[in-house]
Amino acid sequence: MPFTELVPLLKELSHAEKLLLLHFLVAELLKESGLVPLSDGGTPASQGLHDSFEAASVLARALAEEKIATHG
Amino acid sequence: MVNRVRFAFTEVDPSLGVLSTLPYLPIVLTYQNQSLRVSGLLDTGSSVNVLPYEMGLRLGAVWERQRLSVPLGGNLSKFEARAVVMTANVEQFPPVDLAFAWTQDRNAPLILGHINFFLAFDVCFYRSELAFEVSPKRY
Repeated sequence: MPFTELVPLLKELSHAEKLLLLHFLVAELLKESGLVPLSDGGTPASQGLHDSFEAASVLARALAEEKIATHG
Repeated sequence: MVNRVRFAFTEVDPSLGVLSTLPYLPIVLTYQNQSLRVSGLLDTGSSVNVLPYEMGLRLGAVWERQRLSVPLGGNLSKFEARAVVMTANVEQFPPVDLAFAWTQDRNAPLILGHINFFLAFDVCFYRSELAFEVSPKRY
């Protein structure tokens, strides 16, 4: 479909649908570019267990608390 | 005392044979005097240890009493996880405390990852020989 025909259809979309379309296009562009989207905190979103570093820091804290509880 | 023990990789799917072998480590987990002999997947690609939900329950852990929430990534991000510390015995080595991300995913495997299994033990993989060796960390 030519872009000129697409524009009137896009204008008929609701505000929410336009936002969703925008999100879809950004995600498509990032995917095509091989880029990792940023999370709200400005850091790359976690891809899996291999980079669950925040989770690792929570476990380290749990270990430290256990050590204090056991050995004082 | 023996300070290094060799284990064989475990064949997961007999129809695939050697293609489906994984390094599962026999380990005894203890939580408040309740013990369970299990096998954990040695996963150098995981930042954390992961404890499946049912296994935690069988060890007597109470979900509501674990107050530290653990934000896991990947497929497990869909499930809430909480930190729980257990005592682990591998062979005749001295017991160590292992912290787990106790996930509510009932299909998750027991994963032994960097925090903190690989901080407590040194592991050498001999994949071509379908074996790995484990020893306690050197102080």
